[in-house]
Amino acid sequence: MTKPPSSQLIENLRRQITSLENGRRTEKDGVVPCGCAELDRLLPDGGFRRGSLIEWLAAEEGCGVHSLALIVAREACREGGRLVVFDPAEEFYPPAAVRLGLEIANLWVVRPENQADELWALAQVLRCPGIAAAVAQLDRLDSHDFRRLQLAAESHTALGLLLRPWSARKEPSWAEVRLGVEAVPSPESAEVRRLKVHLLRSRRGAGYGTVEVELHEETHPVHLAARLARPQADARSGRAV
Amino acid sequence: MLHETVHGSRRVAACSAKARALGITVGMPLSEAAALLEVGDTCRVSQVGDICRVSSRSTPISGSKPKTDKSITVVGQDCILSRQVTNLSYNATVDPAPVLNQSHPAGATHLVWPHDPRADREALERLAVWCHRYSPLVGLDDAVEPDSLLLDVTGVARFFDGEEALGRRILTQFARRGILVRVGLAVTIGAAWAAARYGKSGKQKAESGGMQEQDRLECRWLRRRAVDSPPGSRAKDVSPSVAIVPSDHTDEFLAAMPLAALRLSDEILDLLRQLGLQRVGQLDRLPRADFNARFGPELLRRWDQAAGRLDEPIVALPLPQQFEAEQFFEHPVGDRATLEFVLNQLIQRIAQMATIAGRGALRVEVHFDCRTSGNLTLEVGLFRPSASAEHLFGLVQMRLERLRLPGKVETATVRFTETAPLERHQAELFDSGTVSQHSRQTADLIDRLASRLGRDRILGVRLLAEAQPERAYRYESLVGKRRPPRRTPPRDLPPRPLKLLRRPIRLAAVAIVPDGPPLHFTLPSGRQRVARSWGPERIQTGWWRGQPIHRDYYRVETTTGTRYWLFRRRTDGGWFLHGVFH
Repeated sequence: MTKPPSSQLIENLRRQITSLENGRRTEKDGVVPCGCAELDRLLPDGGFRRGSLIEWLAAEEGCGVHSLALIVAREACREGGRLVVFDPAEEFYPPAAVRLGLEIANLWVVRPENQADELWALAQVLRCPGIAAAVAQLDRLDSHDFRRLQLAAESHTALGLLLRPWSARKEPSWAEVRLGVEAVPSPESAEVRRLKVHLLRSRRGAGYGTVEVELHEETHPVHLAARLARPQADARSGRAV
Repeated sequence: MLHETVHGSRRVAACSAKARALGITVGMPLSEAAALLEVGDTCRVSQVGDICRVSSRSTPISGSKPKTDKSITVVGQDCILSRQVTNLSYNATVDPAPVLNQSHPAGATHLVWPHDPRADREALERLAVWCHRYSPLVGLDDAVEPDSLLLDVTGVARFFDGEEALGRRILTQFARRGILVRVGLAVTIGAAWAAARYGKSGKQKAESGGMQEQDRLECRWLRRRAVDSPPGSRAKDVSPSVAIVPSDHTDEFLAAMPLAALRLSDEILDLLRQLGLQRVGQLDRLPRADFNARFGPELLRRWDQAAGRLDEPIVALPLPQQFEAEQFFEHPVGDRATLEFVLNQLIQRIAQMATIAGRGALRVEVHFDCRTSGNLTLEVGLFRPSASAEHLFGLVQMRLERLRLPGKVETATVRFTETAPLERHQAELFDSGTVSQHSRQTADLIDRLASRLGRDRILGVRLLAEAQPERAYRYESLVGKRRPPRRTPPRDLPPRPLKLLRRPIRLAAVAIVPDGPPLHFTLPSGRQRVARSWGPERIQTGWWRGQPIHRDYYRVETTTGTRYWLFRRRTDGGWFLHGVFH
C-alpha cells in the first residue's frame, strides 16, 4: 500500500477540518450573491451559503432589515424554488415584497398561531428541497431550537433568514453569519435609502466588518448597491461570539 | 325600486320601503308606479335580466358570493332603474352596482352584484346533484339560462309515501337550505313546467294514483322572476306549493293555462296576444296546419311537448363518483391504535378506487360516529390531488393526534369530498426526476403544514388592482381546491411598507402647514423628528365600498434614518401610523 504524497494528505486533512466546521454541508450547496459586491466581499464565502441560517439583527424598527433580507431571498429564488414568509403577527404586506422584485407566484405566507407551531413549520420548510428561502421574525429563540433549525437548514439548500432584535446579539448563535443592520440618514439628492450592515459574527471566522449599502427604491425591482464606504476589515480574527 | 318587463307588460318586481311609503306595491304596473314617482314614462327598460330578492335566511345564488345577513339584490346587466337614475342614459356598459346603491342611500340594506349566469348555472347544477336523493335522473331545463330542475320520478313516489308527500318533502328540504321552490308534477316536462309556475297547489289532482308511469317532476327555483305572470293568470302568492296534474287530465289542465305556460319566446307571446289569444285551449280553434307558417316551429313543438304528442327527454346530469368507505364496529372502539389501523385500511381501500378512476383527493373527511357522546368530523385539505394512501393517512393521523375523541366510536367513515384528476407527467429517458420529485415534496410540505396549522394558515397571495392599501391583495388558501390561473400583477406598484399594521394607530403629530407633512410625531418608543418626507399620496374610496376612506399618505424618514408610513385623515385632520418600512 502506497502512502499518499504529503501535499495531498494535507489537502485531505484541510477538507476534513472544513467539513467538521461546516457540519453536513457540501460544496454543491453553492453561494447566493446578494447583488452588492461590497456586501458579498464582507461575507466569508463571497455571499450567503445555501443550506444555512443567516441572522439579521435590527438596530431599531423601520431600519430596513426586512427589505434587505427579502432582497437576499429574491436572489436565492433566482434559480427556482419558493420563498416562505412567516407572519404570525399578520402584518406582512405582500405588495411591498412584489415591489422588491419577488415573484408573487413563488411566495407563500405561513401564519402560525404560536411559536411552537412556527418553529415546527420553519424546520419543516427548511428541510424541503423545493424551498429556496424562508424568512421569519424570531424575537426569542432557545439554543436547542436554534440548533434544530440549523440542522434542518443544512439538510437541504434552503436559506433560513432569521430577523432578530438587537438584544439577541449577546446570545449564542448557530447561524452561519450574524449581521446587524442600522439605518443611516439618506442623502438629500435622490430617493435612496441608506443602511449600514455590520458583520457581527461568522462561523468561518472571517472577522468583523461594516459596509454601507443603498436601496434604490425608485427602481422596480429595488436595486441594492454599495456606498462609497469600503469594508473595514478588522485586524482581529476569530469568532465574534 | 326595480322594474321588470315581462312579456311586454312592465311591472314592479321589488320596491324599497321608501317606495312603499309612496304607495307603490310589488306587482303594480310600471306606468302607475312611474306616475307615483312623477317620472313620467321615461322608465324605459330594454331587457330584463334576473331580479331576485333573497331573504336574510337564504344563501346567495352563487357560491362565490359571501354570505351575509343583509338582504341581497341580484340584478341584470341592463335592468335597473330608479327615481334617481331615470335621467341616465343607461346601457349595458354601466356597472349597475354603484347605480343601484345610489338609489338606496342607506347603502347598508342592499348588497348588489351583477347578474352572473354562469355562477347561477353552476349553483343550479350543484342543486341538481343534491336532488339525486329524490330521483336517479335529474336534469336542467333547456332554456339558455335554466332556472328549473327536472326530475324523473317514475316509480319513485311510492318510496316517499306518494306523490304529494314527495313534493312536500322537496319543499321542506329546500326550505331548510334557504331556497323557496314550487313543485309541479305531470306526465310531460311541459305540463310539469306549467304546473310549477301557473298551477294551484294540489287543485289539479282530481283523483289519486293516476300517474304510475312517466311522471315528470319539475322543481321551479323561485329565486328568479318572482312576479312575472300576467295579471290573474297565476295565484298571487308565491308560497311554496305542490301542483300535481293527473295523467288523464293533462289536456284539460293545459287548456286552462295561459299561453306563457308553454315556454314560448316573448315574440310569439306578443303575436298571440295581438291575435286575442290568452289560453292554451284557444289554440285548438286555430287550423293546426297554419301554425308553422304563422308562428314558426316553436309554438307547435312546445305545445306538442306539453301535451305529450312529442317526446322530450330529460338530459341527465351525471352524478359525480363517490369515494367513501365505512367501518361499523360491533363493539365501540376507544383505542386510538385500533382506530388508526382501521382508518389506514379504509383510506387504502378508497385510494385504490380513486387510483383506478384516475382521481386524487383534494379534501378528505373523516367522520367518527360515537352514538352516545356525539360525533367528530375532521377534514384534511391537500395542495395537490393525491391518491397515495400512505400520504393521506399521514395527514389524517397528524390531525387526529391533536383531537380528543368524544367517546367510543361505533362507525368510522372516510370520504373524499373533493377530488381532481391525478396529475401525471411523462418521464423522460434521461430525466433524473429531480424537478418532479421537488414539486412532489413541496406539495407534501404544504399538506403537512396545512394539516397541523390549519388550512387558512398556509396561504398564497393574489394582487388586486385596488388603491386602498388593505385591499390591494388577497390571501388564498393553497389546499383543498383547484387554483385558477393567476392574473398578472399590476406592474407599476407604488412604494409600500413591508409591515402594514392591521389597524392604523393614532399618533400625536405636528405639521407646519395645515395640509403639509408632519414635522415630528410621537411613537411609543419616543418622539421622532422628521428629516425628509414624500407625499402626499391621496387615497380615497367611494362610500358604496363600505366605510369610505379619505387619506393623505406620507412616507417619512426620521433623523435617524428609519422610515414610516403615516397618513392624515382628511375628515378630521388626525394623524395615523399605518406602516413601517422595516
